Amino acid sequence: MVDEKAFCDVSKILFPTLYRIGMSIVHSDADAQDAVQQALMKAWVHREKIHREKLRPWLTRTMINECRNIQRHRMRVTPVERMDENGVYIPPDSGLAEAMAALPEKLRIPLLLKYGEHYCEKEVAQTLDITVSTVKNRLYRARKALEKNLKAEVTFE
Amino acid sequence: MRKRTISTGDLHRLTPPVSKAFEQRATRTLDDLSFLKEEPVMKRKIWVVALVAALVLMLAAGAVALVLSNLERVAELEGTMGSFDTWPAGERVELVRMLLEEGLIQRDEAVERLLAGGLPDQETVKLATEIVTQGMGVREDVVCFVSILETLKGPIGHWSPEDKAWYTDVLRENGLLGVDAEDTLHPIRPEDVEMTQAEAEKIAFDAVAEAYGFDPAELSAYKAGAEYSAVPGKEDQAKWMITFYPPDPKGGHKAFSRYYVLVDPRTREVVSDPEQYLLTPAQRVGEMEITPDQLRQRDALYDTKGHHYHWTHQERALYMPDRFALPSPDGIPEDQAVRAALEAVQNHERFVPEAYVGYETVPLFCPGRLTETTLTTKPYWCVVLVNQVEADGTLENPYGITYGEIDVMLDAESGQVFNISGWGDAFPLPDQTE
Repeated sequence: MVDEKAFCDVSKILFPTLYRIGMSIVHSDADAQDAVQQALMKAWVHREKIHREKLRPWLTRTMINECRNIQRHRMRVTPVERMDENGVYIPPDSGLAEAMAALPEKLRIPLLLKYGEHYCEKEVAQTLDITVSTVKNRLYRARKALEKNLKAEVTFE
Repeated sequence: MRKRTISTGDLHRLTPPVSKAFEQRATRTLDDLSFLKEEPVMKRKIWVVALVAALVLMLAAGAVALVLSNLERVAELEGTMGSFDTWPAGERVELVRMLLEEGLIQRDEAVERLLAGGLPDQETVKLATEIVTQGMGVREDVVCFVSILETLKGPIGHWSPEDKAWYTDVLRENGLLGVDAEDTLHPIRPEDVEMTQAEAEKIAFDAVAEAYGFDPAELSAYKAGAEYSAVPGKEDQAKWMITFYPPDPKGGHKAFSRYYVLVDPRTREVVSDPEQYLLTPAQRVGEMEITPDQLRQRDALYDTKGHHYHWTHQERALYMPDRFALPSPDGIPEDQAVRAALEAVQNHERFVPEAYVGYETVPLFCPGRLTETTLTTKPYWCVVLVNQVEADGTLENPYGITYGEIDVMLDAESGQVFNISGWGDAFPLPDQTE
């Protein structure tokens, strides 16, 4: 089980991760913040039955579910926000942004978790409730799809 | 084909950085939560969603049926407008009328003045908010559908299964149910069930008593709560969730509990639900690093001493051995650790001396384990500098507030500082740049 301090410590460290994953799904700052807060509150209530080692994938999975619920309830698919004179964010690498946005969510999320947030494949599998072999398969397909979109051989640091 | 290397930073820059305001707000919420011994009353739509999820832990044995369907309008307003603290004047007056009908507030001069109308919107909002928060005894940001219901009928965990099912239905109808058709348990009405609530409670009682070593007379003083719950679409697999709520030293019973049992009405067995992260009492006890007796002693310590920051090293080492240990006689002494920590903080680039007011120093000794939060496997001091105010029962501070915290980690043997982290005005969060 996870006690309060450990829960809060891990949660604070995870804020940026959860927010980034949320943004990649809902493409809305307000919705992503909503999803993060909902996931944290839900995890807080369940904290005594979460193993510490599984807190990160549990939180991430809960947050992904919250994003999907927000999308479903608000019936909204918002295009990726771009910074303009109204103050909306524009990613510096628009080519990469477009290539990533073109990926189906089930390929994009594992890729972001592994290469963006440094989850190991087992953690990605726990987060998304799929097998490790499925994770490997989706990572492979994601990389291939990116290569096609970027017209370049892709490696991750 | 040309080559392209994508870095972590490239992926991070696909989204805007987390705003400081959001991070500080969420951090403050987490720290308020961590200061609590018990769960707070739900605050907003997000709390409402989490509370519904928490129904898998909370059961009600309340004998009084909830007949507050006229308050469903509150859920409707939350669903369309958001949390109470964002409502305009007209809706706040409407809430005052509803609470007046329910007897939660009394008709006095302030209420008469509000209902007479004619006040500017800003004044109406202010007056209505004062009436509601004082009538309920909570802060403005706590006022919501569930907190109103709890003020009238007690903790949601203590409600009847039928009332919880009604509540869930209202949330669902108003779009306030965060997880709808997903794989989370939700309360449903216990109709045509193979096992009665009383039978389930008996099985659960025996399971908890055996696993946790309860004397039956002691456990009998706990309040049993029940919920009949199922994953949407799998109602034929619904199960009883029985929870036993400890007596509250302040009176009544606590609103939350870890002593829950899942009972399958078809097999009449105590079961686990790994997908819901629900274990049997025996499994939970098997995973604990302390004995059931120590668990209850620890709960009593929270009741008497509050947050473990106020405990002795011996108490923390005994009741939280996964996180704390007795200071090593071979390492640096506590006062040296504290001095080194304070010096490191004062010399840190993020430190704002003029904002460092009201902080207390809490030296903690940790055994050092490789987890997601620790950075070493060797024993270390964690000197916590924290500015927190304990709950004082006022409307502004019913649960306690943490204004800032700085954690300094030092190697127990060498005394070298290997990590400093924190937040608050005295130690603002760094910019989110890469």
